[in-house]
Amino acid sequence: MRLKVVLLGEGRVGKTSILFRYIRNEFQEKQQSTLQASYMDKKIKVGTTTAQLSVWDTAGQERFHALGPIYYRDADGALLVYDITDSESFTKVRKWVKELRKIVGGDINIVIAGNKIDLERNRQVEEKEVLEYAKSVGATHFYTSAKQNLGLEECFTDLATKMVQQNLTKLQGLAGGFQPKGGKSKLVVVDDTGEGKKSSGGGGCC
Amino acid sequence: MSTSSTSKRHEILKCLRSSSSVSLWRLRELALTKGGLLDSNLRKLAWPKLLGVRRLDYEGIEEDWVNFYGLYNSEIQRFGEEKGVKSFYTKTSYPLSESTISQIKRDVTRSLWHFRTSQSGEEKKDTPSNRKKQDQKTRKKQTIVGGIILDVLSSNPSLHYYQGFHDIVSIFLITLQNPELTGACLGRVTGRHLGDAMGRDFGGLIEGMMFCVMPLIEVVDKKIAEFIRRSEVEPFFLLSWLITWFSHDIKNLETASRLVDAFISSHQLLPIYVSVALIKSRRDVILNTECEFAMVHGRLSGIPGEVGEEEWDDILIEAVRVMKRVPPSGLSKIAGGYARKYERGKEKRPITKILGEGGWKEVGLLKPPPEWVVTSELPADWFLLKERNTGVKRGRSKGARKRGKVKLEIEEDGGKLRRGGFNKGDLARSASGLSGDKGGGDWVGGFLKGGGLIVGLIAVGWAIYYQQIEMIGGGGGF
Repeated sequence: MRLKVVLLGEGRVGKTSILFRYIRNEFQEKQQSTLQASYMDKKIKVGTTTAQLSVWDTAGQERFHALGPIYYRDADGALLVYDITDSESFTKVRKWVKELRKIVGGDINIVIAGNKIDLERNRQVEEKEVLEYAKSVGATHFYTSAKQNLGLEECFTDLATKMVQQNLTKLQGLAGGFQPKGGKSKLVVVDDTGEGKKSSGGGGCC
Repeated sequence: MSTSSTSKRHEILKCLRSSSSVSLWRLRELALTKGGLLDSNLRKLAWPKLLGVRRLDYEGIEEDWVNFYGLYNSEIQRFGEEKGVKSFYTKTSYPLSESTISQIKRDVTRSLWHFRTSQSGEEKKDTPSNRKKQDQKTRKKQTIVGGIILDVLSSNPSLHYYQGFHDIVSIFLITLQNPELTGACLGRVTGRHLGDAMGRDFGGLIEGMMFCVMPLIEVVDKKIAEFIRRSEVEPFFLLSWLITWFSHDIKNLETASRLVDAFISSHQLLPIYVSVALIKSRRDVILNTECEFAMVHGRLSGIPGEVGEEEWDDILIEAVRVMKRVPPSGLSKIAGGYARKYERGKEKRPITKILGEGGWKEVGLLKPPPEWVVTSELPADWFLLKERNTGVKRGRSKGARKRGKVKLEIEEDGGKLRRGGFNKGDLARSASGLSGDKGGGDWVGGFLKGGGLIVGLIAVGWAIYYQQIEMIGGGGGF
């Protein structure tokens, strides 16, 4: 089973570092900014199913978001990353959730990762707010540290489990002659920032 | 003009200081052919000329990064703090947002590759003390790069920062070794060449890419075009190539500078033609890839990193050859043809849309080249003339010596050019996008061969027609 995961989040929250740590167990203090979407593969076992994860890394700066849909449109799951020491980066997570729900629909599995937990002392994002938000959009939340290799296995295993289950359910449905059409209603998008719905090509918040 | 014993380096110096004016078409030709402008010592002299920037008199202080800024020294040291950043930039006419400043700071401090390659291309021994010195040097250079970016952005409100611009700035600074000269040169390339990338968003750049890339690939190789369409990969994979002039992907200072030689000697669309030539050069591996989005995307985006230093010479010539065949003025025609053939009945019809709404006319990449790309001559630098008169010999940089490029024969180069379908002196004019076998640029191309004066007149006329004259700054350019 081949599953596609896309890493999304503001620039410098640690998407590339998460990818390198999880897949190659490498960490670079000064990871260069990502300008080019790329992916890495990893095999993962969920129960009796072996899945091939293709994890796509994307550029974080707002102006690259216009390219986003090409990389997430057929993704089975998204890992939305924010930096616990940067409250602005969590606001971006909310934007991503809305965009994914709007464009991909309710089918995409979402996990939120609060990265850089090794910098707990500089925390800016309140735990209560995050957990409530994650619950309200049907996402799981994990704390991670790419630097200290914390929480990454759990994070990806959870996402993979959800994706595998969803795929198996779909397959069973197909086998039983049942076509799950437009099953996009189970999750409700919470529009909590009161912003108008901008088109994804617009970009530029600053 | 040259004999077999004349080295290219001699030719470049001759061009820069043999008479009171520098023939820019000749200099562009040298910049485009084998090895480009060869090394940073020559680039330092030639880049400002190609860009129509009058060189500041900065001889003697080039090695001393921090003292150059004298009074700013203490501020530079404090760059890590917000206040230090602000006090660094000198033109505060258009203050930048806090988020932009912090983005720049993060990108600059995370970028290392340009700085780790020393200018001479020699690696120092990896001892703790050397490492510490290297780190200090790197930080200083990063600080200055950050300052220059802030300067460039705050002096022109239509320019917006994008991740990747810092790569280009670093290459210019490391080559030119002077922050102010770097700023002046960037003032040129941020016009037509990087203007779309620096817009409010990437909208214009993406339109330009959609408009040119697939139609051009279709012209050079139908089979590759068909393969890419089938894989559903869109031209976005080459965005980083365009916004960093391939430097982000090749991560080699020498090659990156050699590409800058070519790009500042050419029409702003050359990077797109180079992308097409790159893809064509890997025809077999591409067609042998599994035709699936991720595989093809990965295969294509990996190409620049695999191209050897010398292979770039061939790629550039091939790119100019394609530009000669389909000059920028002929692009709307082939884009239209492509759209009629492949976008018919499709839900998404980007080229049809861009053509229909006339959006392509607003895209900087698709406009006529800036004046400095077609200027035919500029006065030579006085100190170079003086040097020649007093018999000063300019040494090759350590890097060039090390690479053993002692004799770069022009004749040898000429052979390759002829095989590529170019006559002598033809390459640079083709690369300016103004000549071609077909399309609207043809008549201009014919005239251009007439001589310098006519070239100048046509260039000015062309620019006035589009009301897009970019004045040659610093005064006395002509």
